[in-house]
Amino acid sequence: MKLLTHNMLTSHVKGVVSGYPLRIKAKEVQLNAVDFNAEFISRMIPKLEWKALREAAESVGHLNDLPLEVPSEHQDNEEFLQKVHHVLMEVEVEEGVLQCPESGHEFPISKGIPNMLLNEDDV
Amino acid sequence: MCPQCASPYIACTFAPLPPYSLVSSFVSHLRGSGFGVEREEREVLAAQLWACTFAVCCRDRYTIWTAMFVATHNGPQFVCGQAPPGDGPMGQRGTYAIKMIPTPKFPPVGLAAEWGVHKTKKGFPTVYEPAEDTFLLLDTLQAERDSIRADKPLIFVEVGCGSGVVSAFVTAMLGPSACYLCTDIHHLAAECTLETATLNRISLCPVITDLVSAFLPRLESAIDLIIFNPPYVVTSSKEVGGSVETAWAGGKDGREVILRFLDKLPSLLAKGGRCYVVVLAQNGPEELLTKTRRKGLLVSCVASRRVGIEHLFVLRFLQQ
Repeated sequence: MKLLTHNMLTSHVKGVVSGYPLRIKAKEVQLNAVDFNAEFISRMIPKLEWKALREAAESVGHLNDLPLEVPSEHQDNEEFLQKVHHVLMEVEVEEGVLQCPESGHEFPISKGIPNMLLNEDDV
Repeated sequence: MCPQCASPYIACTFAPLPPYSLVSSFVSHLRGSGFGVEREEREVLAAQLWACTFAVCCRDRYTIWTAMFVATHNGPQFVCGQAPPGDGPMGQRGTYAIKMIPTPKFPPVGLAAEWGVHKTKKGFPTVYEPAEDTFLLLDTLQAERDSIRADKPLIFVEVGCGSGVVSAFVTAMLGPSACYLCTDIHHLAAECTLETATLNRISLCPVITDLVSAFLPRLESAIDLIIFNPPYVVTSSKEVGGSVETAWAGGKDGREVILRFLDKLPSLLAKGGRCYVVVLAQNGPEELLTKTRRKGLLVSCVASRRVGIEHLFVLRFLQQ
């Protein structure tokens, strides 16, 4: 599971009001090289929940000096874009859980894939 | 490429497929001539060039090659296709070739995996094997490529990704400049999709969830391109979502899942976003279009194809 994916996931446990962002409790993290595409990263940044990304990166030990806030004119800041690329695309959580911030329910991540399905009681 | 002339081009489609029986006899002819045809009718494209002749082309999933035939009342006649004489398809003789995006590679799925055809590769026998509906969808996306590209979609979601072949195809069309999210309710489909991504050296992001629920409300009104080849087969309601049947069981009129999806669709698409859904005649495509038009989307049927007893359609929805 890339941190890009994590940035988009929400918990839907019954009764939960704010199931975002999910807390990552990683057992196994891998780094995979992915080709850098400046245009993609630059376009993607405004769509990200930046704080959630930072927290996620920190929780898996790959904060990579991401600043607290997105710098202005980020599209021309190659160094910044590279940092974001690494965190977003190259850090993969292979095994672990995603914890609902409100209910504590844990969604498993197995073989790099998060399973967000709920039993009927949790929905 | 063509085994005769090594041309990388294959026939384009402008007209309905030839009769199924003729396709079968064409495929037998190919086999008889020593060509390895693995996926026969499913990957046959046809172009109508002239009143009573048409070219049929086969492409093998694992190695892309072309064989150009002209089927006449004398039976299939092999010709080697290259740059055609003449310009347009109407009333012009000759064969027309345009470069097609090849079907992406994917691991053994369905029957091939079950029969252990590829003993060295990991297989996913319970994952839906790309079939006529998949190829119609790929051909349609290929035909819509220019207008999809012009939108420059950033966030892409494939619902019910199965083997991942459609998402891989879209990646081939749009390049790495988009975020490719894939969902499936079946964990093995999600695993297979990751394998497909590795085989094609691309990045796909699979999530196990029902439709797109894991991405809501985060991606509300934020998705630029959604594709869904849904479970559309008419079954009893209780088969829908069953562990084996999730890939195809559509319940009443085969559209229980489709209706749930279309209900959510207007809230998923970004402004200018678009969605493609494959449906069967039994799903009542006209009614589906009307229902969705009433919710403010621009709707149209952009492709149809009869394959055996199935009459398939690809519906397109645009958010204004």
